[in-house]
Amino acid sequence: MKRFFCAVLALMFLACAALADTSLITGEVVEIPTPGDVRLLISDQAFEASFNDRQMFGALQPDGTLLIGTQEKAVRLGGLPDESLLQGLFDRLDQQPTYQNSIYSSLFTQAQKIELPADEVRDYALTLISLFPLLDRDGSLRQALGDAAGSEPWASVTRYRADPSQYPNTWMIDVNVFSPALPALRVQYRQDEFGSNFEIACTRNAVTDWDETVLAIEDDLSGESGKVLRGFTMVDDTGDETWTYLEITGFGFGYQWRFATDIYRDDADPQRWEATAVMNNDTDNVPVMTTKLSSVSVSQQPSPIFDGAVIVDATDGLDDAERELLGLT
Amino acid sequence: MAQKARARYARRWKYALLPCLLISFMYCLWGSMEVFTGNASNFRFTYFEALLPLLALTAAVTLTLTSLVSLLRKRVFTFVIALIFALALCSYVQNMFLNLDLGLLDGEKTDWSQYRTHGLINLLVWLGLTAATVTVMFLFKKRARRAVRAASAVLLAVQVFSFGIVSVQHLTSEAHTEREATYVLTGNQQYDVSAEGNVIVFLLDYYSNDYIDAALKQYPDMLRPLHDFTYYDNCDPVYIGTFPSVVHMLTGNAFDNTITIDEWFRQSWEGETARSFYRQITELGYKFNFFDSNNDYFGIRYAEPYVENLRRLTHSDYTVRYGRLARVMTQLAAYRYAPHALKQYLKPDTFSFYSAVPLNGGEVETCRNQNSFYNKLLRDGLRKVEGDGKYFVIEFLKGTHPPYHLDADGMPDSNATLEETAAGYMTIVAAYLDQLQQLGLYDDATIIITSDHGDKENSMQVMYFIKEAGVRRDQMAVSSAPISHNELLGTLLFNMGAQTDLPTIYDFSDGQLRERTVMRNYIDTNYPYVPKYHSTATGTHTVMYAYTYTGDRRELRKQFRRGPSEILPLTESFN
Repeated sequence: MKRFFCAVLALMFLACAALADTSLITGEVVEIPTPGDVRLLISDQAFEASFNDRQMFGALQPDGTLLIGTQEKAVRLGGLPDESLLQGLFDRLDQQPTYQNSIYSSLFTQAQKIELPADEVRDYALTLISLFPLLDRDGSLRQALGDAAGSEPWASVTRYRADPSQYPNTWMIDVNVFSPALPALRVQYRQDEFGSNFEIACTRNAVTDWDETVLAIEDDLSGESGKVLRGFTMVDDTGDETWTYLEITGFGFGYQWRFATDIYRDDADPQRWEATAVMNNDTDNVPVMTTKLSSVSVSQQPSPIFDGAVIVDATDGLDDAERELLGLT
Repeated sequence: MAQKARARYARRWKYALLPCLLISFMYCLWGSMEVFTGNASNFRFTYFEALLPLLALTAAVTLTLTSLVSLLRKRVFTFVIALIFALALCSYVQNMFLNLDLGLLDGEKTDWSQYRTHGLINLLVWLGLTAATVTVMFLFKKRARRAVRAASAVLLAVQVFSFGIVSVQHLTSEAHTEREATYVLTGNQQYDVSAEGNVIVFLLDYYSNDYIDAALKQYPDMLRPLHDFTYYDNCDPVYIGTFPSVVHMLTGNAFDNTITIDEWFRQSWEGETARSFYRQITELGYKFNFFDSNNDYFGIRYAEPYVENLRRLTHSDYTVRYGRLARVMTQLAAYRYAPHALKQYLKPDTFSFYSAVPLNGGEVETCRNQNSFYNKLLRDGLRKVEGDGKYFVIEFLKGTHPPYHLDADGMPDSNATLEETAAGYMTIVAAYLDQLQQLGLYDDATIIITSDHGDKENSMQVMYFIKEAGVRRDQMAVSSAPISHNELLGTLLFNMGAQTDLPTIYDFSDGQLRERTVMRNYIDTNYPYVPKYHSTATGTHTVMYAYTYTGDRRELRKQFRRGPSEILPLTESFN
């Protein structure tokens, strides 16, 4: 289930990034096939999608990578993030002394903090880029990171906790990257009993106050000040069905966009689900796309076929897809 | 020989006096009076009623301690007075620099296990500072006693000066001058119900509709006693926090962040909506009693014309138990000064202060104080009163406000879970309803069970159950109509039989789309801190966050996660 959710998230990130660079930047409405034209089979390890005469597969490989594509051509993505990626960080945070938090103090009363040296930040950054190659399409980041070494602090990781008797499983992690090689980056992730909140803010400018920086990015549609992705997930199990909601808002992408999706799964038959996805241009207050999907079959399994397909890496795959979308090939 | 010994004793007495006075002054007087002057409106007693016993205690402890310490001789004596000074210095440093924000002393349970590392480090600081201070004093060799005395004098002077300053500030502030107009809510009619008719509102603090869902999973029969009720599962409280929610509920006046809190209280109770509502219920023959052991959120002096059990406090209305008062005030000081590891054994609560200054007219029973409300209900039952008109009663109980404190049977349990406490309150309500039935007053009563607010995070909406007079059902009805506490006054009037233009919950239907806004106080450091209500201190909150949504609690939760729709800077902070 977790891997499936990660896969959905990764796909949406990919789609958002690709669309942001192509048709959506012009504000055009993307034509979405009617539900009857779409066929989507999903399992924990694979999916199969088809609309009209086109067919696309996705499959997790034994080595942890993800293949997405058609019978002719597929893109290999790095392994999906799992808990082990962050477990080391959490273990180290556990060993840090807890201090009284003065920020977010109405909820998160306790905090623990570690600082990460340059070489460790480099390793994490390279891992992240391998997972999401779109972060470094031109390779400039990998080049900048190449020589990074030493113990100079390049990032801090702070974990905040709420009173567990009143707010069980409620915590927030704040990652702040302030290296000379990478763009300034702040990642906040908050988890509680009802879902999660996340914010990723990135800028090439020096940052002294992230709150002010984020406000500047929100006001600057061009993206020159930086980019912010902010969103949240919500999960509600009523006993009959489980509702999952995801909403992401993007700032600094030419206009402010918002993507939201509801997924309802039948608790008695988890293979049965309905989903609605919308994307909105909040700057001009116009819809970009709306689509509804629902499960129609509970017996079939996806059967991805990549035998004989040309396998390319994510960056090349995206370049190809972009050329195709723009009609250059 | 005896004369020499007496002379040596007298010399030691002079050296011991200042360090002993210093530590007595801090623990017996200044430590608690500093809290009192900053929060006077939260205490029932006056500045001088506290000062006199504490002065006497300070003098007695100083003299006793000095006399005993002076019996010691030579280096032992010097060591002990250096140690007393060191403890005073550590206490001072603890209070000034090392204390954590452990929340209000409102009975909330503190999870001390979270602070083990801090407590250990704090204890090491104490040991190090004590050892260093004693060592430094002994570096003065023969002048060590003088050094201790001089250092004690300096530290004492600093604090006496501070005490003088805050005393003058307090005595010239409204918090003191308005003591002459202090009001309380008395409890002598808390278990009375009228033979002529009753409208009863159970206001269970902090009780979100999400908590109903959570509790029902463990206690599926929890709501069975409410089979005659309609459950509105989409009720917006409008405000998060007893302040300002209760006053808004009782007066219909929206909170105004641009004016002081006292001015808002005045406008609320003197506004046309409140005056009209209370005039109408009086004309309909209702007397209004509001029962809560606390009233600082109430703007109580402006409510005097409307609330039957509200009394203007005079010295004859309460008894000061000076011994208890001195004890609880000393405990408060020790709580502030003690090293962190000892604080869990010293934490006082609101009821310790109430029991030191009890009301002669009867305390309002509460569920916080070992659930005295329920115990008395079970023991003595409700009393049917004839010939006194109809009653409009609000029982404001602790509800699911943390710390969770009742088990599912309504019995005190400091380790209770949210679900248990939520179910426990329904047990108490069921017992009350049962007694109403036994008295034959249930059928004609209108009963509302709701909360002033939900949680400040995800679960902001509140539960809302209503049984109108004469309604009988086999099974509880459920409505998802988008109601709010803006409709409380209209709904009450409607059920009392009045014609009203005020909105009621019956104006809304299932599935109807309605835009609503809920607001919560918040500490937003991007906005300036403001004065605290009725205090010389700085307030905790800087803004009010407003969340506007259309739909149900899920939509509200979405908006909460997106962030506030609007931010309203405060003029004054209640906490």
